[in-house]
Amino acid sequence: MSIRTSIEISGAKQNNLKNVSVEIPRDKLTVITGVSGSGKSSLAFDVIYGEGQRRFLDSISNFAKSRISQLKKAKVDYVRGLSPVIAIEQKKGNNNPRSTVGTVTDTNDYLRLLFATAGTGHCPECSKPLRQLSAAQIAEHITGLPEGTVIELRAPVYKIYGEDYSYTFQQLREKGFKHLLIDGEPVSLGDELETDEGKSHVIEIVIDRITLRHDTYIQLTKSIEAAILALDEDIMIKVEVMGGAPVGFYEHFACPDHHFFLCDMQPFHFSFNTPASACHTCLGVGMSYVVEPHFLVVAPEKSISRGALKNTVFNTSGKDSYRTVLMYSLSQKYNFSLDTPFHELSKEIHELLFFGSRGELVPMLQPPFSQKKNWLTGRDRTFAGFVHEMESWYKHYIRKSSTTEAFEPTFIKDCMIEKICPECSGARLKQQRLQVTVGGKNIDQLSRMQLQELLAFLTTLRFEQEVRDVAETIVRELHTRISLLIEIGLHYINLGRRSDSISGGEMQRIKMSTQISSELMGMLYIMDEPSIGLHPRDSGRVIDTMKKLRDLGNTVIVVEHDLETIGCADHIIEIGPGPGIHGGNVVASGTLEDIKNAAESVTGGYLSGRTVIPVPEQRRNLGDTFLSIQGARENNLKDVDLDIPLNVFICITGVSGSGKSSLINEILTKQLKIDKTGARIVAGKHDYVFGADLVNHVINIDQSPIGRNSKSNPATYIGLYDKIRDLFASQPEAVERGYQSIDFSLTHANGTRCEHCAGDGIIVTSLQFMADIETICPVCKGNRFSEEGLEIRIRDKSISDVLEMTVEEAAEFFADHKYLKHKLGIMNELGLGYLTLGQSSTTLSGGEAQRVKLSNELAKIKRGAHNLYILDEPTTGLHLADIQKLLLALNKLVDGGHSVIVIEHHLDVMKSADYIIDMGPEGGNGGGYVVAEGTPEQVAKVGVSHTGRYLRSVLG
Amino acid sequence: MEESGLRELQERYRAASDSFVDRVKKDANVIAVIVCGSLAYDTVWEKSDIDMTLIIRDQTLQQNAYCLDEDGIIINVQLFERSSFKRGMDRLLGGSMPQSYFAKGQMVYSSDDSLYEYFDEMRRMGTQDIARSLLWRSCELIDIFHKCQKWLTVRKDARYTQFFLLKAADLIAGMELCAAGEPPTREAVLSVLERSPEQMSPFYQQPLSGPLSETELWSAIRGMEQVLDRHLDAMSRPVLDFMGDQSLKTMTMLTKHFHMEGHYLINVLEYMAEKGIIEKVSQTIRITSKSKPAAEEIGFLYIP
Repeated sequence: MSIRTSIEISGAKQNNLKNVSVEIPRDKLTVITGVSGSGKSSLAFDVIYGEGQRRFLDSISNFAKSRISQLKKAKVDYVRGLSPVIAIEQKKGNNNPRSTVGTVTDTNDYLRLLFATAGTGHCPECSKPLRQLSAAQIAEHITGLPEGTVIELRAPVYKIYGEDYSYTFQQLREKGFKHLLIDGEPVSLGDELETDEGKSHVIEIVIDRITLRHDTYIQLTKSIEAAILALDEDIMIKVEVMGGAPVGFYEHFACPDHHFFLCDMQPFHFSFNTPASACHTCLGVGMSYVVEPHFLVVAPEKSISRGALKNTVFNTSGKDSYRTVLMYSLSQKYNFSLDTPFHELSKEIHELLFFGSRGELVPMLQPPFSQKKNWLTGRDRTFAGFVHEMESWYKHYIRKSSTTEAFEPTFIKDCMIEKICPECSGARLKQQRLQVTVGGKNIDQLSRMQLQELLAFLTTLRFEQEVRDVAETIVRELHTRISLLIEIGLHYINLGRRSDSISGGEMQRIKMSTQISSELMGMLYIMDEPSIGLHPRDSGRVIDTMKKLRDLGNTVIVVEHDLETIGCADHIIEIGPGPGIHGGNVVASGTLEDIKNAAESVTGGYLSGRTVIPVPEQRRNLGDTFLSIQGARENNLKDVDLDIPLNVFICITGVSGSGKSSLINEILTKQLKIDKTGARIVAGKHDYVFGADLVNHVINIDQSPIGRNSKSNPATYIGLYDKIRDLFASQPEAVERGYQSIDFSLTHANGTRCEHCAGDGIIVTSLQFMADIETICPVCKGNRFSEEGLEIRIRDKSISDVLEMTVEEAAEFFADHKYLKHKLGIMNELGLGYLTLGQSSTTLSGGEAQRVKLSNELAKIKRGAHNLYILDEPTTGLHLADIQKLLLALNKLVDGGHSVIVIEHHLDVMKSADYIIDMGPEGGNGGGYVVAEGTPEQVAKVGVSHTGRYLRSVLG
Repeated sequence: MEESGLRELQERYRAASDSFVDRVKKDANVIAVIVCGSLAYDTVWEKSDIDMTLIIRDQTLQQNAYCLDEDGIIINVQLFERSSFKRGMDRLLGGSMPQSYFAKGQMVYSSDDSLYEYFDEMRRMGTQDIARSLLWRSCELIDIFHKCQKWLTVRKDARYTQFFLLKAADLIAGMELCAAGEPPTREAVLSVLERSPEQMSPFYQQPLSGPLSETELWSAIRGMEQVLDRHLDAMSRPVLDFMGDQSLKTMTMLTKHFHMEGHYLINVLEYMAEKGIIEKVSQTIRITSKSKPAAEEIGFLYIP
């Protein structure tokens, strides 16, 4: 039997695919392309990946299958020649704050192994290097002492961050430690202790005291192990020989001056996801919550007595409450009025209320309006400030106890923001773990190095003879993994970077690198637009990686629009020609030349140069209005001052990690939202943003779904459906039956929707260990409405018929209805004419959702309004033909008097902008500057700008 | 039982205990033996058993209690690994039931001399433990103090009020012993009675002697308050230490800190507020994260 050389798909009818039959060569790099909504993802993911996964799952037990969410069976006659399939999609990083580049790539596992194996400990007192010993080794060394010697096992204790000694002692007692030495003096926690909070006491707990005998070895080993366990997996233990140790007892085993032994280390000792190893304050997240003062103010225009502050801070209704006494007394001592609007009070008073009297005693006075004498009156007290007060409450609430569970009270959490953990400064691990080093650096220092720097560091490492073989094996593995990440263009990130701050494109590349490192062959990889989010400078690296996967003996199928990637493919399939019902066919298939020569291929048109996105003949002139950002310092931004012209189309460019998103999303957008709407968010670090008064609204348009509910659809999003329902409800028969507009809603029970399927038109049956099955609702036959509802008709079309209409058809059907015609016309212009009005939002592609949002905005354009539209990488998932439509929409917005800021790498978008701001020059530490700004032509002339270099090629 | 018979019985129990201990001494896994209960500090009778705790070299124990026979006498043996015994003992609040149980025990054997020292130290109640013990005992006593008043004034049931006085006797005796740094046992009432009979009289001898008049009942209730007031300083100390930062502490915070049920703890806090030591205030909260209307949680404030 000959080896199959292709994947054969026959009769694919998934979504809009029209009985597609196609062959994809195995062990080659194949690109599937086509306009947005043409059906390319249906072919690649639903049919090929879906079938591949389903067949693979068939080989596992039903028990395992019942625990896996399976894809629905694809509508296809057959797919032959499949291999085990892995899809590498464009999914944004995991939102779990514990997920980092290091954990996602498994590189952290190796790093932890390296530290556990070859790490050098350091005495917490004098930093002398300590070598690792097992409990048995320590016990054996101790039992070498004469019989009758009394030894004490001790461990150092540090005051819990942000707490007082009494809380630290309480915690120790709860863990089962009663005997301590404070500054060398033995004390019992059963007694009340006098400690000076301002002083740093040297505290040790006495874990056990043992008199040595010939048979103590086993108990001693176990005691050390139990002590380590009881101490939350500490790795240091102190052994004191009572009456003094013989000379040389500690040499080569422990710190000779402070008697600390370093116990056996395991990889979990360096895992911030192990509670015992994680920082006590942030529990391994690296961030902790602090109260943000301006969240305590709910109505700055009101006075304190009228409710300027949150009622959990100061409840104005409690005339006799202690807080009223306190507030009145503060106002008397510091001379401010409780009736002055909060924002008119001086900065000093704001500081006083938020951060307290800083130790100054405030005499408590009886407010004249109070009806009863308060206990406080006549006493003097300090005031710690509402911020400190709330943080202290938060600390108490999140403590666990035997009678109450730890919880985060919403009334406090509402006022808090995440900040870098003050105890570990983002290292996520407890201090003790950071005392272990490899090559003089601790695990956190390595996690913060950019990958390039880390790789260079790893190559310099030299190990002691006894661990050399093991350590070098681990370093080799680390080297391979990190090199792959660098090769794929991620040299600027570090292993400690949180996954939720990583773009979909970066995450996809990370996954690609882990796949390459697996060195499997015979696999089928399916990727979704790996070029996204990459500056043209870096896209070549991804193409090389895909080729590497192919050369290992794998089949690589890529859904892609990037002409450079298409140009490098061995085989190209174009699905189309149009979107939705206008697509679903194989338009062209073959080599690059075949596609270029295929007259009906849209992609071929762009590849051969028959079709181009033209450079605008004229760019808009800059007006005299600007948004101005001063002193931007978020992430890697280097104190950037920048003016962003308004009423034009601006493109923010720069290589990955150059600081574009920090500047626009973290600073500009957030600060404008705070200024415009008082949003309860905190903008990235900067001094000022001027010009908020020049824009009416700040609107982000992204590719997130327009709705997550199966009943939301383009018509409901744009607001068309309300009008359509009104029309149906106003039909004479509907009026006669007493129907109202809401009775035609799919979400309204007891109206005219089909109650059997609740307006879904389908019934989903869960089949335990088989994939869920959808069947047409037997009651409404998929019409989603009841018989009675369907009887109401407009020009012989029922509400169900209208929902089945495409935007094009609906525009014609409602031609005499001004409002509907206007909205539908805009959708049509943006190329959404093929969408049906009732198509569930969940089935729209990212590009389609984005255009639905844009058409919604375009339909709302009002004369005189000036909005700022911000789009982050809007070309994701868009074919060149779609990008042309997107540019059309963006230009319409600018022509309508608005401003558009686009963060983009796509050269066709860059060249179409009126003004470019190029960030860089490099990613990470090497970036954070504005490298060039001006018209595309001006930027193209800037030598140091990578963007400029690529722009030159497209501007001619 | 006659004196001589009793003496004989004591000796029989002692002999059974000794013979068992002699046997387990040969087991290297047994590090120490503690005899607790009647044999350790009281008189045994014919239905007594022997309570014994064995400290075992650290290992995974398949069972941690046995009921054994020695010369026809039941020995209830509890096993503890050395490390967990130490952690458990260190965790025990001085004056609590288990601490009192061990404090009255005797370590009759140990292969490690350090353990004798440790066991001796374990009997001692530290000043903090005394204050904490007084705190939780007074929470219960205040509860009874309120019940007595209610049954006398609202329910007008003198007999049941008298019954509550008897209930209070054990708590009061416990408080007196704790205050003297002595772990209270089940014989606390007898111990205090021996030292100062007049102190226990309104709560023990008088209620047992026959029906009390309303005046006598009120006098006993006032006596209860006097007991509370006598120990007010000590029992308040843990509360004031916790509240010393002068910031409001809600009941949620207080119950978490003291590991006590709110409905008990509030007794003592309200009592302190009534005495003007602390102030009862409230804090606006939302009961669930979705709740719109605000609620007022009770809190307390202390300004020295």
